[in-house]
Amino acid sequence: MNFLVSFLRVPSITEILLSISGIILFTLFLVYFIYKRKIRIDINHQIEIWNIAKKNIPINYPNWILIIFSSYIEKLSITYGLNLPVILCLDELWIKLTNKNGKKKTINRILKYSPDKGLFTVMKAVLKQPGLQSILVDWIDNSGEFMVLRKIALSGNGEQFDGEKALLLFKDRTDEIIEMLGDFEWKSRHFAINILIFDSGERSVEAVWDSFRDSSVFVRISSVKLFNSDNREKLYNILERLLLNDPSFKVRKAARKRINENFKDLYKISPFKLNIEQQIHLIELMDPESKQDENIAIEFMKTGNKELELYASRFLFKNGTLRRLLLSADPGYAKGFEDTYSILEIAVAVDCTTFLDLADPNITPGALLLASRILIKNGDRNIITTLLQKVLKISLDRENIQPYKEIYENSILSTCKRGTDEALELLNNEIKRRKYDKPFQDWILDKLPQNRENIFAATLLNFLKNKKYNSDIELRKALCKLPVTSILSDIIDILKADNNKYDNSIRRETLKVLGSLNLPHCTQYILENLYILPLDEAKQYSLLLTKNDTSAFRTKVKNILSSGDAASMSHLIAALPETERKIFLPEIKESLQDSNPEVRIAAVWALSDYNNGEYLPLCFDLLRDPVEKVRKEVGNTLACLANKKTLTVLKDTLFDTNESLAVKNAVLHGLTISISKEVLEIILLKLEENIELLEETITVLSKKDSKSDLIIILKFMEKTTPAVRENILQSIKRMGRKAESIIETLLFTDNKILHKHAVSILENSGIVDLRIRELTHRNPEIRQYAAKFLLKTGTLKAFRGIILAAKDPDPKVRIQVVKALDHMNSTDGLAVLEELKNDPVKRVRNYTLWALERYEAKKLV
Amino acid sequence: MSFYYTDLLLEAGNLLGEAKTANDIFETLIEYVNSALKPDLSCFYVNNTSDTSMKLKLKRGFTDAPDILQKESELLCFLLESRELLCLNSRKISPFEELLLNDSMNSGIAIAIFIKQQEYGALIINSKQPFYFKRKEIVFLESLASIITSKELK
Repeated sequence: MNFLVSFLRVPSITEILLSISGIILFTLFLVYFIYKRKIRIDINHQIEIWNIAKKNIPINYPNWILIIFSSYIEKLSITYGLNLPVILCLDELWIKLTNKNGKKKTINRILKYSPDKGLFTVMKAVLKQPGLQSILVDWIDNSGEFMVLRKIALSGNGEQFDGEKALLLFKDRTDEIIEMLGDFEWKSRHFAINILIFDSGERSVEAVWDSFRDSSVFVRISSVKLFNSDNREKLYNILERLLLNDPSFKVRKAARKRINENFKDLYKISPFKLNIEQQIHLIELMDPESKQDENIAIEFMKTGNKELELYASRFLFKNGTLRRLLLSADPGYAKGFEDTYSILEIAVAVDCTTFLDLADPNITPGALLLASRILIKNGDRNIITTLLQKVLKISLDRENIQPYKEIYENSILSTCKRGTDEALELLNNEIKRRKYDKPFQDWILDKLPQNRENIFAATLLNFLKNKKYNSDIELRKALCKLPVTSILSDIIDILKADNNKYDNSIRRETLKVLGSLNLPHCTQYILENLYILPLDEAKQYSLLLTKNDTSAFRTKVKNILSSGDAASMSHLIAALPETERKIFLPEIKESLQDSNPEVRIAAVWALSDYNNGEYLPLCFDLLRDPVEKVRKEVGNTLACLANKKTLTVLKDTLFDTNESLAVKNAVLHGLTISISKEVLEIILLKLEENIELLEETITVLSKKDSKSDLIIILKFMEKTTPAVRENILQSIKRMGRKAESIIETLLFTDNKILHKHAVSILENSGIVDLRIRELTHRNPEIRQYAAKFLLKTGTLKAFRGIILAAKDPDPKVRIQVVKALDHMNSTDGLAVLEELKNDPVKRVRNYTLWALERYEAKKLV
Repeated sequence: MSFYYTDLLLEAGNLLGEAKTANDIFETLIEYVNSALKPDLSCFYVNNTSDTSMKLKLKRGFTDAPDILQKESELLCFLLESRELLCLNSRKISPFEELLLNDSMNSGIAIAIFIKQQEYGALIINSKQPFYFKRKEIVFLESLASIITSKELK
């Protein structure tokens, strides 16, 4: 009963704790026992595998269990007569532990079971804990190894260790260490050098000097890093040689570091006297923080050697120079800007393009200009998209003003040449935005890539359907460059559509595109629609018609020529190719007398240049045709031929006092169309004659507004009378803004005659006044251009205008003011110059001093 | 400009027209300048595009002149950028005092020589006499440089 009571009573806390401890101990014992048994089974299993494969396989247990059972495994090792720690790779765990925190027991185990693998680790551990050194020393003494230090060296991986302490530890074995330098194993030599570097013995020092030529990179690096000598100059020379000539980058890097740390005072390398390889080695290790190294790299960029350029570019990219140059480029300082451009262009040419990142929202127009120039040829295509996005934004409404014009055009060129589809889409939108800007359209349509019909075909076809669109010729060429399949269907739809859907001019242009596509299978279609073209244009299709089935073609022509339908007959005659005209010569000659003027005109077209002008006299007669339109067309035809014979006839007719004004008017009209220079001379002579048709001649001359024509006209002005000059000026006035722009460019030529007349024209046209007004424009580029223009104009009025800009905030404008004052060379300008002598900008001050000196010199007689 | 200079200019223009190489042009230039202006020292410094300096190519006169001029100097920077004739008629503190090539010189005149927009070098002329270079010398030299600028090399 008592027993039952005592059993049922509540146990005390001590009893509970004791019970829990007992349970834990029992559990631990149980776990230990189970693990021990399991490990033994697993070891037996691995021994079986080892017996077959002879391969050490790590035993698969957590490290802490292996550490607990290390002693047990050692016992088993003795029992089985096998080196179990090595077979089970337990030695690797011991080495790892020793590396972290060397313990006597573990070190002993390594030395006992795995000295080949762990000696070096043991050595490092005992160097850290001098108290343990005796274990290693005893082991060495008892090992009986012939080259025990070599064994230590080879057990490592060539890691660094404390050579100074090692020297103390192995002080009695210096000879053995020096002998190790002859070992073919680099680990052995590396081990020896790491110790000998700290030995002051003569043999050791000599051995270390030699080690700079060791075949092992690691040996050379150790010597470079650690060796110190009183002979600093000799050591520096060796380091310099290694820096410039060693084939290993690691050695060169170590040499550079050592020189920077200890030998800066002796550094004397002249980069430009080195050979290419040495220069490359030098660039690789230049200091990114050093301004001097940056300048050297920039000079290397100009050597023309691609290899040097590559290394120098990479250096300049890494230290941020290329990016800095890009971002700080100032097109206002032309020389510096061009220098920067040439450096960046070289970098890009050797595929160093990452600096061209244009994502920065504050990127300058100068940087964009550089990038736009570079990206035309090289660089990441994706950057072109960013470039175009930015350029379209900043150059909006300033596309024709420098430097935006160049940035804008370059960006578009790079897009056309190398742009991604995204960039081409942007360009497509820009083309649509500026669809009525004829100069732009003429320029861009020629540049569009041929294989991007997916982007541009729809836009170009829309332009074709747009009556207001005015770059027809370029549009036609651009459409012809696209794959036929992408546009043919739309073209035929336009031609087939009802007359009220598309204007006649659109249908004409569409037919011209179809003709220009040169598709033999569309000949029938062209012939049927030929009547919608003017006669002269129908003629242009002769080449296409020759490519058709000749007999079928002739039958068709014969049918049309005998049909009596004036429109069809005239267009077909005009369009007949040279070879076919011979066949139909009788019909064409007969057509010269046809009652319908259109047919007569077509016959003139067909005969005028046939067989060396054999039938020209027949055409000349039609200059006196009763119908004005025929006379004018004949005049056009003959002027367009512009050969010696026709020009003589036209000139004689024009100056013939007995000829009627109506005929002369027809000739003059013809001269309008011809682009021949001889024709221009005839017009100028007619103007000089000044007897009749003066107004008409002035009008005809006003159509000659190309640059080459204007140069001839300006030169003619020099040798003619003031009255004729006045008439020419009237003509030029009628030419409008385009001619004025061309004449403006002639201001900047060296030709004094052209300059003189260009100035008088520009003064008359009010351009000079406009530029004077532009000196107050808020855009500095416009002000700069205005100042340059006025300086080039060189008249008193222009100079008076420019002097007003002496207080302009832009130094470039103020420099133009100084130049203008120099040109004026008047005492009135002296006060302004005296003021500019104290200009805050040095460049302006220099120009002012220049002008003052010249003023003084010019006063001397 | 006096007839003397006009004649020399015409003659130099003809000879420059015959010149086939840049060297011919420089030699003709320095000879004519020397005989026309009669300075104490005439030097032509030739530009090397791959270098940061200009080297003395031709010299007339017995006084020493520097073998090289740095392109970064105020003098050459100004000449190359402005393309204008620079004159310094007395020795004074000036950003262009390098124009006087020797301590014994007291006045100088210089101009950069361009042929078809390409910089070929700089012509520098010095005299021991202060205020030696006057309007006619300036006009003569500018005209000569202008002829060379528009010259086509054969």
